[in-house]
Amino acid sequence: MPWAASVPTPEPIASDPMNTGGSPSTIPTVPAPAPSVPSDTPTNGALGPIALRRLTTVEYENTVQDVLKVAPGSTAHFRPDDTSLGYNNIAAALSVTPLLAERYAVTAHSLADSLDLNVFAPCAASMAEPACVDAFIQSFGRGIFRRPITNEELLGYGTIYQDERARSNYAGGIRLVAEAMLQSPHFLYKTELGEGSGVERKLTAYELATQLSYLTVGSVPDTELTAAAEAGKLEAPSEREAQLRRLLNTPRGQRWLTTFVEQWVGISDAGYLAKDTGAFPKYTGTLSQAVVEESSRFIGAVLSDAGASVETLLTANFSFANTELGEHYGLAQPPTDWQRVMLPEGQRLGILTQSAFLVATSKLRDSFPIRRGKILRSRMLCGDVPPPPADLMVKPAVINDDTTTRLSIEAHSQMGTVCAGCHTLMDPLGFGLENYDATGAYRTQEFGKPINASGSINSVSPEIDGPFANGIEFAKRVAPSQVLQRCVARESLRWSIGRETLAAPLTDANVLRDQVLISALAERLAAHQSDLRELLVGLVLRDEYAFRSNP
Amino acid sequence: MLSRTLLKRRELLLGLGSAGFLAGPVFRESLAEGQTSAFPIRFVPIYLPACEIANKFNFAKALAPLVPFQADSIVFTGVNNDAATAVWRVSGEPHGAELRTLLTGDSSVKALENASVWAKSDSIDQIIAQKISPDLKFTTLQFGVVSETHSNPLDQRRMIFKNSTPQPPIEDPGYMFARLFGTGIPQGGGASTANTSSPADVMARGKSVLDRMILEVTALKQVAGAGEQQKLDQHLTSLRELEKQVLGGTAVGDHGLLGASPGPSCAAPTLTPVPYAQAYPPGSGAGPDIPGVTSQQFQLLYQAWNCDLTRTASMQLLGTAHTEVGFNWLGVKDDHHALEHSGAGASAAMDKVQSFFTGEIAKFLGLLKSTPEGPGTMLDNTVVLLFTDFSSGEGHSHLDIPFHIFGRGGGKVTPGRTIAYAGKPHNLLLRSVLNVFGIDQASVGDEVAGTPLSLS
Repeated sequence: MPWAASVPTPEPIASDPMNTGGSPSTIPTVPAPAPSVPSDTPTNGALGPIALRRLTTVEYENTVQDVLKVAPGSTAHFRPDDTSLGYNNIAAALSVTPLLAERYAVTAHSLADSLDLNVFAPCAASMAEPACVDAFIQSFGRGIFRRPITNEELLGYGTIYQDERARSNYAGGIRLVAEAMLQSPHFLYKTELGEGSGVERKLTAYELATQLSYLTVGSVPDTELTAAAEAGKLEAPSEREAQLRRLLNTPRGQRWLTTFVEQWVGISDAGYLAKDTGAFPKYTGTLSQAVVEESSRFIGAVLSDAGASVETLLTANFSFANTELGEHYGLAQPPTDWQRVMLPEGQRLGILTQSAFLVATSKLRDSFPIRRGKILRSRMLCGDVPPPPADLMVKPAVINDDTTTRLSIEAHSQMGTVCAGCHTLMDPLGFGLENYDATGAYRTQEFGKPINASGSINSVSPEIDGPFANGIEFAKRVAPSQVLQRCVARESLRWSIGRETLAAPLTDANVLRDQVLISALAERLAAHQSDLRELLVGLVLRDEYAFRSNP
Repeated sequence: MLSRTLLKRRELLLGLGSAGFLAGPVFRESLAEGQTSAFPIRFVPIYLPACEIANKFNFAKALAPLVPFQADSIVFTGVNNDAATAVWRVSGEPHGAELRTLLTGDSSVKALENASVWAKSDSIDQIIAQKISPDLKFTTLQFGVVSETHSNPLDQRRMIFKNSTPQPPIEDPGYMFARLFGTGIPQGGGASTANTSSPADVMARGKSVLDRMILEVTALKQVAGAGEQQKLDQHLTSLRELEKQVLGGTAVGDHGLLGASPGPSCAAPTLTPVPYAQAYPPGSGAGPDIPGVTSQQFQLLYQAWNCDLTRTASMQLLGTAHTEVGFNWLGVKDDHHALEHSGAGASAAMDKVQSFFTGEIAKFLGLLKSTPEGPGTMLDNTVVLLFTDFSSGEGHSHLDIPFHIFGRGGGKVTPGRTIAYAGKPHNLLLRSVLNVFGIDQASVGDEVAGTPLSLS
């Protein structure tokens, strides 16, 4: 247990499981926020260690669609990727388990079986068969490996062809080569190995193109990006910026950036969450789908029309609705089909008051202010919540069935000072959303008692700390703040580079590098009207974007 | 692709009934490495979320359906999960710690926010599988029931680890059926070579692809750097596992349906798997088909063992702090987490839910006990480890965690008694279980004081 042992930890006091509560051995203290590092601090020259990043299921799906020209659905039976830090593309959490290797094998067979050989492996009567085979291995490999194949690979896959040719025929051999290539680690992993043998490795032009492409559209480089890579242009930060802006402004680029926002805010799985059908008979499958579509349309609109402004994401007075969702939101005139709508004034503002977020942060039947507060604090404010003492034993207070959610949580979590120490960091944030039930419907009463949606931001920063009247006021205060800018900078960096960002100690060169990057990105965001796209531009413009270190 | 071949296969199975499979070898001829009994010894840990040990997790309440197996059981008392307590202290998240530590005893995990760092130790089911069934068609099988879908992404939690990598359960009985009793993983050629596909050809294709993949991953290991070695080792492990399915499959019987040493009752279960969309319908509505899925998963496990496709498995029923499904068919509207936190008020509802699951476990034990094997039954040659995460849902207590063993482990376990741990950590209990399978490790997960108590 080397990691746990390195953390200063108090000895727990043995406690009786039936104990009714009493003081734990320690009362947690709130950690001081980390000071931000000046963005012009010199740092080491590599973005991180050399790495292999397994394609996520979505990236795999996009890649085979683009290269093999197949219809969507190849990955319909893949299980969702493990998430870490809230994102599904964190390399450390992505491996090839036996189960996934099976899926890859079955899918590769299916894809190879349906490959149109007239398109991918034509062999005119005038051509010699070996030439046709080599041409196929080179072109197919170039597409899915995202680089030219090596001589060794040409020979290796050539052998697979020849062995199968002896068993069957030309088509059989070609299909088996395709089946193998579709299980190759050179397809399944995006490599960041670089060239040479020194400590600092420059990414190859193909690796750079792959980085840029999966960052912006979640798939293989297109023709233009490939041409830029082959011409050696991507070494120039300005060319990287130009390519990135071009790709971000395509519909695919906007959709891909939408997936970042969905994962950052934590609404990706909202469509899978059921609610108590007895309490919410109107929360049907179609409404659940509409809830997801609303946020997707809204984020897409902000990214394409509204300057991709983070501030607008949190404070827009408009959204999108169909009839069912319009009724769910109590719109005076629900639209007949999907369209942009104005939100009821004083009831909703921005993405944190949309049903997707509220559904994802609720229980089956009840709102869940503790979870809502924890997520608001960690995802929007990048604030820590210290752990509860491990020997803490609490018997819940006895409450009546018609006690409001807020009062029952206050009775559980805020009695005495022991729990309040941590829960004041979370619960008062979540209370701001008490006007929305577990399905995101607006409410002014619970069990016939008036809703109290007042709350406060505690121990984050003098810039935003203090009481607020409701979630709308919270969103308005946080949206333009430096706290949010720095937080979304950190979050976008994690998503962009697929790894944890390092926070301490600053004497470590890699920690310093990450903290400087976050400062630089936050400043860029502030200087560009909180345009999310600038976070990615700021990253690819950095010299270290093209370098990795080994070890 | 898979489903099409599976359907054909299933029609065939249904047409033949079990007689079709009796044509294969029915005598247990071989012993796996390290095996001392003349019959396969098997292991499965079964997880069921939190119970209140004091007044529920006993044969008078939640375990009532298991009373017929009381004489086949050991009840452990006073077992603490200190590793979970240690994780909780560091991570600040009371949930997740327990699942990660229950079978690993390993506290070297980081907070939920940094979930990319998982348990470093393998869970004991994996250690045992590596010892007793590495050469069978499946080294082990991970079953789940509503263990993945219908759970909030923040609740993503894992119980089984190998190579510091969580090994997710399969919660879809249809897919499990296809893996175990379908035609296997297709290899090469497709329509263009259908006429020339002998079993030898299929094996040759699989070998030619897998040899290349193993070569490429091994070569990548040379250049990939220290941080990536574990990931590539896991990849190699997965390819070797695939190799057994592809290459071992046709060696015995019909596309590998039969394992190394199938029992006389070995047959594909005569069940029609619940379609995935019905098992786990997205969005709101009826919710997952928990009764259907649970029953089928246990039936599949039973037949996988009976056909000797593997000798280990794990079964994860629901997840920890499970908030996203209710139990409508039992008339219980609350989710499991709500029940755990509702104290005495939810007692009757909690009993209903837990009794449902222990009832399914009882049916599984009944299948094992009614299947003759050697001088006794399959249950006599099995170790079923049943446990929950918290002894007190309200307090998230990792003290005095309920653990039960059913079965005699081929004579290495003497049931019908209570073993008192008196506050010792469960790492020692995990070591005791390993001992049954002839594995003697100095520690399991964290190093702790004390020696394991014998189960014999």
